[in-house]
This record gives sequence, C-alpha cells and structure tokens, in this order.
Amino acid sequence: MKVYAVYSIKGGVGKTATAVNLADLSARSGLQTLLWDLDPQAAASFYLRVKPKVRGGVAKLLRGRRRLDRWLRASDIEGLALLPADFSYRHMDLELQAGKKPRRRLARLLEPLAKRFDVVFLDCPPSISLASESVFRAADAVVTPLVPTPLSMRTHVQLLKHLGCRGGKQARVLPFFNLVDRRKKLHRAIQDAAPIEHPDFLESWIPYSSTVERMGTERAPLSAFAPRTHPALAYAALWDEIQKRVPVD
Amino acid sequence: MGIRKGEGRESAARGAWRPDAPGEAVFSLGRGGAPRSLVPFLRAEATLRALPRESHTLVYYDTFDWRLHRAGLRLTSHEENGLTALWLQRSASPGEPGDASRSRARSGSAKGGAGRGRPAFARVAKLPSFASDLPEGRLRRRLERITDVRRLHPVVRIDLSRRGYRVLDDEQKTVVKLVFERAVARDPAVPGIAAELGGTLRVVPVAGYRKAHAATLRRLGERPGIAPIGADLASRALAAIGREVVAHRSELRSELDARSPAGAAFLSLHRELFATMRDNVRGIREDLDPEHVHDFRVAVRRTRSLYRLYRDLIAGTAFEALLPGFKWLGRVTNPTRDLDVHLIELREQLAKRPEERDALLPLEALLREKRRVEWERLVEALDSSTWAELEAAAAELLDPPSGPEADRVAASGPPLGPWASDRIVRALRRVARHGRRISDDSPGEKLHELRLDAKRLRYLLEFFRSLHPAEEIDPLLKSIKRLQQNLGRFNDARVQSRSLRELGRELAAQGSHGDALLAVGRLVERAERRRERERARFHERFRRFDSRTQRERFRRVFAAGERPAATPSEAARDPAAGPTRPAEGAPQRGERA
Repeated sequence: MKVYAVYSIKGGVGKTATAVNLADLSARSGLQTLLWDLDPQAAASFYLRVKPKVRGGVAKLLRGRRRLDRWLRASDIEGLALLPADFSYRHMDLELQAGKKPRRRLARLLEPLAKRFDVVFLDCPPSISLASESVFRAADAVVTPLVPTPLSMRTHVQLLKHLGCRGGKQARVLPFFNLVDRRKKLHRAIQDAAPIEHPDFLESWIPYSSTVERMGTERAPLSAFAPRTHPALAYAALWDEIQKRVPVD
Repeated sequence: MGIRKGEGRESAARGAWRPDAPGEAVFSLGRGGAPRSLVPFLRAEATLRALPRESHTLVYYDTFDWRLHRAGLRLTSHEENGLTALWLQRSASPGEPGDASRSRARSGSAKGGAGRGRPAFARVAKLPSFASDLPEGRLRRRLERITDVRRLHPVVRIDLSRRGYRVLDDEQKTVVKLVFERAVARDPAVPGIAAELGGTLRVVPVAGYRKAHAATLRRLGERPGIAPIGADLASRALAAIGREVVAHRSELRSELDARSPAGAAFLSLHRELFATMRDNVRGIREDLDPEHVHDFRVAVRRTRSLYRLYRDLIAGTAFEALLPGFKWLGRVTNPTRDLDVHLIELREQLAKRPEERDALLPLEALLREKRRVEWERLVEALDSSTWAELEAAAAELLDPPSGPEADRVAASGPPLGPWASDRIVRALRRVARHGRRISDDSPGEKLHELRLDAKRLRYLLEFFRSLHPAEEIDPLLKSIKRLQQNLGRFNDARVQSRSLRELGRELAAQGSHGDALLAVGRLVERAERRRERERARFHERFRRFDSRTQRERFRRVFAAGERPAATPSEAARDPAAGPTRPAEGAPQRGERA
C-alpha cells in the first residue's frame, strides 16, 4: 500500500481538487483506493457527495480501538472509498497530543488497511502542525501543489528545510505547478526557471481552468463530466508521473 | 511508510462483475414484483436513478465429487473483453458450509469477516482444467488446497439479464443499489436442458450506508408478492436444471454381521464393488476426472482380492467364471492410470518449479498424447462385448433378487467374525515376516512384494472394518496406510525414473530441444532421489508398524476371538502373539542395528 499525502502549507492552491482527481484516476485504473479527507472544511467529502460526519468524532477515530474500516464510505466511483471529514478534525492536534507517540498515530491507523487498499490519498488541511507531522510520517510521498508565485516558492523552500531538519524516515516530496496561467508573465517566468532551481519538480502541471471549478457544481471528479478536457488530461499525466517517481507496489 | 504489501487484495478485480456479493439481500419477484410496479412503489420514498441494461453469462465450476460445493465455495467464470474473470467465493446460501451471513453478522461490514472468506480472483485467457493450470496467486493456492488433483468442469451455465437502479440520498449520493434480474440456467453437458429461474431483485448495500439498506429492506417487506430467497444463484440454477449434488465416497460402506456365514460378506462386498465400477463407467467414458479411472481400478483390485480370499468358497460356482474378466479389467485400466499418475506428478513438480514449465512442455504434450491414446483404448474396452458380457453376467449374479447360486454362496462358510480375524492375522503375519527380512541390501523387488502384501492386508481390514468399533480398527488401518504410503512412494519413484528415461529417449527420437531433454533428466534425478529417500525411511516406518504397541493393538482386536491355534513355528513369528515377541528395541532381522 502506498500513501500519497496532498499537502501544502498555503491554502487555496488546489489540494482538494488534486487529491480527488488523483484518487479517481487511481481507482479507475483498477487500484483499490482510499481518500481520507483530513480537512475540517470537508471539500473532498463534498465533491464526492458524502456527508462530512464521523461518528464519535476525531477523538474516537484517533483512539484506534476500532479499525478505520468502520468509518469508510463507498463513493460512487467503483474502487474508491472515502473516509469523510468531520468538523471535529479541527481539534486533531489536541487529540494527537493527548495520545502516545502522536507522530506515528496516522501511520498506525492506516497499517491494517494495507490488506484492503493499494493506494491511500490524504487530503490535508493547510497548516504546519502536529497533524502534518503525523501525515509526513505516514506518507510515502508528499504531493505539493504550487501556484507559480514568489510566495509559493518561498513556502516550498520552507517546507523542504523543515522536512530536512526532521529525523527518521523521509517521505519523498513531489512538487508540481497548479492553477498555472500561461498568459501571466510571472507564472511563465517562475515555471520556466523551476527546472534549473528545483530539479525535483514534476514536469506535469495543471492549468488554471474553469472546468476544474465546475467540480463544485457537478460534485464529481473531472473524469466523470469532462474527461477529455485539458485539465483532465493534465491530471492523468500528473498521476502517471507520480507513479513513476513513487510506484504503487 | 512501512506498510507491508497488501496480500490478497483484489485490485485487478475492479470492474469484474461478481455474482452474489456479500451483504446482498435477494428477493424473488412474484406477481406483485414486476419492476414496472415495484420501481414506482420504491420511488414514492426515495430517489431512484436507472442504470443501463446489462447481460452476462456465468459458468459455475466444480470437481466431479463437488469438492468446492462441499467446502461451501463457488467458482464462477465470467467473460469480459475476451478474457475470463474467475471468482472463488463463499456460497451465499444459508445453511450451506460457506454461508457467509454469520461472519457478516459478526463483522457488521460488507467486506465479510475472516480472511479465509475473502473472495479470490484471477483473469485468465484460457479456462483451467486443473487448479495448477492457473497463474500463481491466491486463487490458485486456495483452489489447489481444495481440489488437489481433481479436474474442474462446468456444472451450470447461467444467462443473466439485469437492470440496475441507484437509490440516492439528498446529496444525490448512491446509498443502495437495486438490481432486477432474470436468469436462464443451462446444463453445460446436455445442450437441451434449460430452465428459467424467475425474476429476482437484489438489494446491494453500499459501504457506510447500512441504515439506507435496512430502510429499503423494510420498505420491500411491506410489499406483498415478493419474498426473500435464501439460496444463492448457483444453488437455484443447479436445482432448476435438476443437477443433484451427490456425495462421492470411495471407502466401503457394507455393514457386515459377525455372526452371519462368511459367504454373506462376499456377496455384499462384491455387490458394492461392482456398483462402484458401474458408477465410474460414465466418468471414464466422458473423461470427467482421472479419479474415475482410479476408483474403477481400485474396485477391480479389491474384487480380485475378494476372490482370492474366498477362492475355496466360490470354487465351482458361477462366480469363479467371472474372475478372468476382472483380471482383464485390471489390465485394460493400467496404462491410463499410470499416465495419469505421471501427469499428476508432473503438475506437482511444475507447481513447485514454475520456471521449468517451458522446458517441460514437450514432455507434457507427449504424456497427454499417450494418455489420450490409452484412454481411447480403455473406452473401446468398455464399449466392447467383453465388458458387456462381464457386466451382464455379474449383474445376473449380484443384482437383487439374488438367484440360487448367490444364495448358496451367501449361506456357506464358517461364522464371519472369527474367520475374518483369522484371515487378517495371517495377512499381518505375512507382512511382518516379509518386512523383517528386508535389509539395506535387499533388491527393490522385495519392497515391491511387501507393498503387495501390505495392500492385501489393508483390503482385508477395509472389507471387515464394520465388524469392529471404529476407534479400534481405524488406528490399525492408519498404521498400515502409513507403511503402504512409504512403499507406494518408493515404487512410484522407481517406476517413474524408469519410464521417464524411456520418455526422454522418445523425445530425443522426436528431435526435441536440448532444454526439454535436460529438464526430463532433472525429473529422473529427482525421482531417483525420492526413491532413495523413501528407501531410507522404510526401516523406520516398518519398525513403527511392527512395534509392540501396534502388535498389542492387533492382538486386542483380532486375536481375542476364537482363532485357530497357530503352529509353534508360526507363533514365534506371530506379531499378534505379544509376549513371545523379541523385546522392543532389540535388533531384529532386517532392521538396521
């Protein structure tokens, strides 16, 4: 089982759209896939039409007495299950702090699911906290969407520095450009300079597109309503590239 | 993160349509249950969205002796895009061994409980005849454990047409799936046989939406004319085409009476063995499974053993005239069985070393071809007048109502109990005497002779098993079986290394590739090693069989009765006469010191 965390310190960079579309592509390719919506805003749950509710809240879920299976919901996409968000996720840090070995908590909870799933996507909330530490520990790869702006690039460097200071197992960081508007000179300049300054960047990038925004009205991933559009094909290329860098078993 | 690779995931199974998924509730649709009226009825309470119509053809497989069915399993094939999807899952029928409802009730999830219950899946280009033909994986491992060397063949074919609906919640999310289904079951062996199964409705749960599933079931419960069905699709289809699940047993069942004349046992055992022969003729003719030839042959050999045992009693009767016929049957079945054993052994070798598969293909093809020729000869023999006459003559004597000849034999002889014990003790003495004479230098022939002695003893124990309590006789049978297994393996390896050399020469003459010949050479080497291993094990196996505990057991069971006194020289060697035996552990003739 491979765990891909879709993570960014910044908000509004398209994490949820990325997580939902990648999870959808993974399930459609025949892999048993789980998407865990860790963001209390519950956007991924909304996209998949699942009510954001976890019985017993984050406290019960993190306690680990029951397996995560209990809270899973099948999505309408064959092979894709969702662990929905819950508003109580806003207290995740506190709950993690209350238990033993908080950084290992998510990895421990996910372990038993290896029998059932090939791939897990974690749709993370924007922050850097104990919860994100636990995410880094659980993940095999951290997929980071970046809008090509100086501020985004700065936070990316901050993230790499932070991860470099941590001991233990290192998740592979896979940054890529999202919401790219090639009409903007700034976007073009940053995107074109990236391969030299940051050779770890993925080549695939996702254009800024109103089709992606329509996911909110269609409440479905792109492949369900706009499969042959530019962004849908871009996501497919992105998923291929991610699998090449960090392959599913 | 250090999560281990998910063993047993069914990832490749996505999209493969699977019948009788766990957690489904199935209803039969009577008059009130036509989709035309039922859909509006359900729509009154929930939002329903129709899915496109689908049609599928499913085929259920099993071994001739219903091993999968008896293990509570279903093996289904389903064609999709030129490939065949194979599912092995528990039977959903309540009361059957695999009834998944109990584990489901415990785990409360649609996935089912125990790991053993998880379905196994594979996509194949060609349908397998045996489990070992499948690609490496969980499906093959599970099937091999159950079907062993049995052939898989289609037991029922089902043509399904389905119309699905999604039940949606207020977020327009699917919370339950409904599937209306019509099915026609066909007998794959008899083209004319087809039966309509009647309409059903499947209520398929969606993980995480148990309440919605329960609510749909409640709503359906209010509707007259529809009733829940317990049996799964395969059970209903099998019943519809009238295929019965018949238990297959190769052990003898005759219940004998120790006080009746010995001749009565001859008649009832002969009847049973003859019935076994007849039962297997169809299976041999249609080549359903190698086991039919095996069972037929065992029945013939047991019959011949029975004749030898009763030769004094049947001398001059019409039975005596049947013996040459049974000898002939033994001869005509030999070659096919030998080749079956070769093929089974080859399959086992390939299962252990899949990398040799390509190199051994020419050998496999040669064996299959030879087997085909021999099997055709066997079928010819069964079509011949020799068999027809033998069958008619045996039926005349054995089929009820029995004639004066059979009655006379049945009423003759001493009381069965002591007589049978005496015969067993004699056979036992013979095995003990011959076994002790075998040393490390004895030729292989001697072990082969001992094998035949041991087989005779085993047949005797099996014939008269019903005269003794199972807890007394079964350990004795087990000990002789163990010895026989060792001798049998030794003999098989001996015969195989010889015939593999011969086959290798044939392959060379045909101009086979060097790799093929080298691979056969390796098989010969392994057969020789097996032979040596079994030979080395013999003394230990025999010592266990000939131990004081075993001797005492035999004496308790057979020597307690009125047994004719043994001659002094016999008594000295009599394994049943405990106290006169040499002390346990003291080196005996033929035993390695």
